Amino acid sequence: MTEPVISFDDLSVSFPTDDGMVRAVRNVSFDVEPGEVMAVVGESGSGKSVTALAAMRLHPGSTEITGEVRFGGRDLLGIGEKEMRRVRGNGIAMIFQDPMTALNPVMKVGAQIAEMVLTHDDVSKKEAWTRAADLLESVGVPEPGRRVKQYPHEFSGGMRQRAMIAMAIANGPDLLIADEPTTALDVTIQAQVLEVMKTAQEATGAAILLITHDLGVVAGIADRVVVMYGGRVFESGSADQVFYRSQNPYTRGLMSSIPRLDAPKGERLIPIPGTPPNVLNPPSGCAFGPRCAFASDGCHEAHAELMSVGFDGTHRSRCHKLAELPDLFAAAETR
Amino acid sequence: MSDTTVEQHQLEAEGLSIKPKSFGRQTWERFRRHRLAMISFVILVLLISSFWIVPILSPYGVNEYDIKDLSQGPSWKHPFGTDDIGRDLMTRTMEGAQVSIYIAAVVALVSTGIGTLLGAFAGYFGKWVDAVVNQMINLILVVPAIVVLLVMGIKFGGSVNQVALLVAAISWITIARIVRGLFFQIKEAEFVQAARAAGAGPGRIIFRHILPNAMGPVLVQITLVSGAAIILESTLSFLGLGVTPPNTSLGKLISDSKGFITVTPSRVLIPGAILTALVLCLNFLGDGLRDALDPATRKTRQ
Repeated sequence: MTEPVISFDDLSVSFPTDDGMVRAVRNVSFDVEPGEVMAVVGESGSGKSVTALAAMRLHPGSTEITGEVRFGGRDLLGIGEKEMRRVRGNGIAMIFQDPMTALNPVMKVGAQIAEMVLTHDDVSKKEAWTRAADLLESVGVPEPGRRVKQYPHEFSGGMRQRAMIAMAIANGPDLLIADEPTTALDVTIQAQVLEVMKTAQEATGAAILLITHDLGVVAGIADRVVVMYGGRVFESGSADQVFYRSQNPYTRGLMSSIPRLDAPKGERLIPIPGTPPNVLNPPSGCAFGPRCAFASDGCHEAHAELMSVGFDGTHRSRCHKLAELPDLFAAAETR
Repeated sequence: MSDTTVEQHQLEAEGLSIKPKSFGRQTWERFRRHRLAMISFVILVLLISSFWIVPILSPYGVNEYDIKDLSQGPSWKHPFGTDDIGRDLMTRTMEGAQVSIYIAAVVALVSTGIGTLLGAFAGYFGKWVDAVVNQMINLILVVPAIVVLLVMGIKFGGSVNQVALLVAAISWITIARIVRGLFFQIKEAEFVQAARAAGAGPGRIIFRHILPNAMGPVLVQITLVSGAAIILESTLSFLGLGVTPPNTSLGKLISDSKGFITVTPSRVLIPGAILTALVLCLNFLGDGLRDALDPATRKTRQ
């Protein structure tokens, strides 16, 4: 088997707030293989963005982190700030959620891409600008020669997100972290931007770690999926496994709460009752317990372990009732 | 022809074309619409250029005296009158105003430099850097500026440059406080996070990403600091601790004439009026700049 691009090993992230420690990420472990699209799915506060920020070491100074983030044969949490700066934008690049605010409003778009090149590559300024124009062209921005000299406010939302992608792939990273890359965009633009990301990935061979709450986006692009809830991984596996053979009540709940085109007419959406767990004071036992339709007393006592489902160990789920789930799901369907 | 240019032509034909304007151009257009600021700007330019042109055209030297015309009021021969040893006051006032403007410029430059640098570091790094800068600011704030200037003026006062540096040593705090606040705010912006994620170090983030975004309010503050510097220098000179003879400044002119206010009131009033006009114009200019740079505040003010 090939070496993973990045592997999170028992990662926990906590930060102090006025009301106490928030344990945002709890013992998260997963790998991203070279060239694949790994999606991390979850509601707000599930710890998905914090996991990504920890990989870039962009969390605030007061954050407490334990565990390992292995990238390029070393633990990113253990290296110096200077060395980390060489990884950022070079080994790992990031695409941010809101292209309206993630570009510097007073710098020309070309200058921002050129700066990315110049930070990690020893080339002349002129060459960096030429590369900037080439990169813009590669992500489908028309008239790149004119566009590099424009400011972000002269770009539309979709074009800005393309520029962000151009910046991210400027140095041929091994891993692209995309934090909700389509959330701030129109639906029509979303599909285009995803397409651009896919092409960019094929051109550079980078793996993508896609952080999102949009299952539609996941279905369109992801190879593998990690579902997070309350700071823990609740289910992980291939996109097919998680989408069509989910072995987790929370994932099931997510699936049945989104509209589908192929659903029979008149079928109602089933929302998940309740609200996401309070991160300061999480429920005892399974974090999803209070909202779970199948929960029994045992669920509220201890949290479940992440267990393998199936035979090859690629599909894993966290649930006390793993063994009874197929029957429970079947019973729920007929109701 | 690509689609976008076709579209552009159609829009232009319908008179609907919105040509993107550069930020600088937009600002200038908004500034021009601010009538008071525009008038102030014109007056400032006229005043300041006259300070340099009039002494050249004047038939009298700065220190040239005429014992036949002592303590004269304004006349065709001496439009601003003469002082008690018969020097032409128009020439002297213009020379003095030059010094005041020079001091304002030096103060603006030095205090902007120090204030921006210290404010930027304090705001960006926070923690102990911020604590140190804050204590320096507080120290200067709590001790009355005029007392400090008077005491330091005894030791360092005298030459024009020394007075300018003294005033700058106090004026930088207003710039530093503004820059510090802006940095605290801007450093949380997503594009700063993005720059960090791109591998940029603190130097590049501070000077290339945050500072250009903070320049608007700083520019406004510079005009206000220059106005305040002119007043501070005049105060110092009036109290006898500013520029020393043979140099003169607006404050020194007023100070020299205080014994003659009943004989030739114009000797006090003219430099006083010029001083007031300068400071007022600078403040209105600052107002106009602020509204032009930040249209949002203007809307709420109206």
